Amino acid sequence: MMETEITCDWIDRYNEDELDEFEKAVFQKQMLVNPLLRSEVYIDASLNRFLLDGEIIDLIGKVHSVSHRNAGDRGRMTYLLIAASVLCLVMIGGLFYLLTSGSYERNPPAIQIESHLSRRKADGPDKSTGLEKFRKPETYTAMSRQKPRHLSLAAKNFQPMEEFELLVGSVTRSNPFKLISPKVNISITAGAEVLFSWQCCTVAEPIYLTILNNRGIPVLETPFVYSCYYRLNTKWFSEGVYYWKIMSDEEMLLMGKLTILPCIKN
Amino acid sequence: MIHHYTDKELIEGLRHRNRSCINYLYQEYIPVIRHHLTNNSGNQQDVEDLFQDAIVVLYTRSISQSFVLQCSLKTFFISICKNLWLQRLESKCRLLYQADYEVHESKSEYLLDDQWLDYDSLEQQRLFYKNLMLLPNVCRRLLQLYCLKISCKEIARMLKFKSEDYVKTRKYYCKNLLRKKIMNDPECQQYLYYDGN
Repeated sequence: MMETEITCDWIDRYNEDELDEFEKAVFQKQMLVNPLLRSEVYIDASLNRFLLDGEIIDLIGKVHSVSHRNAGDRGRMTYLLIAASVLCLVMIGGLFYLLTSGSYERNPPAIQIESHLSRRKADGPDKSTGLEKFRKPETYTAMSRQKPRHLSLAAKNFQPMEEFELLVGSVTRSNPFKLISPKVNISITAGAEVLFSWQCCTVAEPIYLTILNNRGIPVLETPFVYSCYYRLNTKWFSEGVYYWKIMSDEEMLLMGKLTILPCIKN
Repeated sequence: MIHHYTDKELIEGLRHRNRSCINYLYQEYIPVIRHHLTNNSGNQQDVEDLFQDAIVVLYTRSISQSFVLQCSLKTFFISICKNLWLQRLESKCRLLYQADYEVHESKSEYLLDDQWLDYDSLEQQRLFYKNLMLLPNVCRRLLQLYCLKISCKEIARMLKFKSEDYVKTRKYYCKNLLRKKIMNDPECQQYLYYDGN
């Protein structure tokens, strides 16, 4: 009798009362000893009852779709809130950065200029190998990267600085540095380019330019210049009086004056 | 603009399984259920499950002839939820306790008086529905049509099967597939080795 094989469809047929007497007896006997079969028969009977109730299935389906849709909306709302928070943080950060960099430009700390200059000194030429071993400074002060701040009071910018006026045109080094252009005291309109060129043979070490405003505050320091000219773009300079210094090996070679006049608009 | 339903409209809508009524119930009552459950060791999934169970109970009640609403629908609905959640918590404790078969207590001692609130059968429905949705669409339709006592010939015509015999074979296959899915579902383990009637 045990040779009769119970297949999966017997469970269905048992619950639908489609087994004959012999099959039913075999199946019930098997159920008595097999708890897994017993639970499978129970689940099948419960499933039949569940599937019969189409209205409940439909209702559950609708509840599911409603809750999924609302959960989706909630999820979208969460993402939007996160995105808004990130945007706010970025804006606050940007504003803070602008404010702090603005105040930095207005009053650049002298200690930073000094430390930059001392760093430049440390990066100076390797005497044993000559000029080729100069390293370009890895970092420059923020001043060299950022726009000079436009001053609100233009007239104040045109007041010359007495101490620097005395030094304009003076060569403060015995080395015969020969500047070709510009003249030591020039006036240009805002945004014009100034070409600094010099005789190469008169310079033994790379030079760099420092531009100071009429209060003696450096507003721009160029990187080391290895060629014989440098084009100074004044696009970001506000109108006023500036003083330039050509420097080499921490020594000033020449000092000049640059007046940036406002553009006359038609 | 959100349409506000009265309790009567909601009951009537639920009787017809109206989706917008269900949506309204969800949006109005879910915050209260969530608040109750989060204060009573429930999580977001429990909130969704409990809402579904309570809707099924409310629907079952609403289609019965004897149903008369004697308080506001919200009060009634929330009380269903609270009772179901209580049963769920007790069921959890019972399952832990039943780990020792020798000393387990009769389930009847834990059942509440309300005949409509049979948490176990609601949970079973939920699990069956979940696994039914995992079946291929054809299998799902076939099983539902078969259980509605529609003839194999008609089913073959509706589902474009080649013969009635194929309907039967396919039905055995789909039913077996669903049973296996349920048997392998970790949440359904409490129904295995069932010794009831």
